[in-house]
Amino acid sequence: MSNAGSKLRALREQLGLTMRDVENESERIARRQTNEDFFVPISRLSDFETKGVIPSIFRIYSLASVYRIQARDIFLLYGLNFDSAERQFAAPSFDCIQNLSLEEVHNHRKREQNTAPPLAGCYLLDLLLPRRHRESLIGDIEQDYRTSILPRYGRTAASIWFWKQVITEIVPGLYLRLVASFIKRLLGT
Amino acid sequence: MRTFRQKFLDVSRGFPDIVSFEDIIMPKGLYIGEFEQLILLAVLRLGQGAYGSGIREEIIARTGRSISRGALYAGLDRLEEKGLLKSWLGAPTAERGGRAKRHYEMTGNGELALSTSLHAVKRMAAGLRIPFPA
Repeated sequence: MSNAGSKLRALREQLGLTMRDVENESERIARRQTNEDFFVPISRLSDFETKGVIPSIFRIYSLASVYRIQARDIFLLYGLNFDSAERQFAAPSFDCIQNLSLEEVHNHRKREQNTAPPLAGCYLLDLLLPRRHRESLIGDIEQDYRTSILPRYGRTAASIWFWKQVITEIVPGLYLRLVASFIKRLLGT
Repeated sequence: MRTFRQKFLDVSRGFPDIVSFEDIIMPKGLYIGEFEQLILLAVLRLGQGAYGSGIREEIIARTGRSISRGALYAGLDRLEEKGLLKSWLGAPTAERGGRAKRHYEMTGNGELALSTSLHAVKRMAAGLRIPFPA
């Protein structure tokens, strides 16, 4: 990742652009698109170049525009090759998204956010579940949330249902870990 | 004419790992409990499409028993360690938030363990009048 960041930096310097130049250009793009997600402040650009932070797709668009390169070239820096036969996601909607305009991509993003389960709950599950089951278990809960609970009961009831799943899955594990660490201390190991 | 047990004793002398009659019927480590039976039966019913959420729904629908996903995955792990199930990761999908699904399938040992344990229960219950639960 830091390798990608240093290549981005090398590209910027090769083009004779300062960080301020990139910030100003991205601000113009953000105003044109009436979407502040396109704006790349200096602090954020520094994070991309030196701290291994991965830019969002909107900022990738801005960087590609400012550096006069294809967005896919920036993806390649991060190891994503869209020309390869392998796809990251099997969902058919992903193929459609590539042919959509930016506005439609933005609207699709908003729709995805509306069907996504509570983010805090997902973070808790990610943090506290055993690593082996994490992906499958969270995926199962999310699938049930999106396909059967949310369409049937609406967002509020679905959020309550989701938090109930989070508590059901996390609390027994936490309790067992507490008991195990208490026993360890008792035995002095 | 030699009995089955006598024949078994002759065989067992040549196989040091077999130490009891039960080892012939059920090799070591393949004893399964009631919960594991339910999991294997659900996997058998679902066939190729068996995965965590589907197995859980099948058990809840048929037995009315409520089980947590964590307990189910722990059970699936135990069965996989015993060699009764095998699993593989499928493709990630958008409805799962880009997460892959883990699919399960019974192995030959799993089928043997399941059929043996179910037959054992059947033999134990043979001739008894079991009232339907109220």
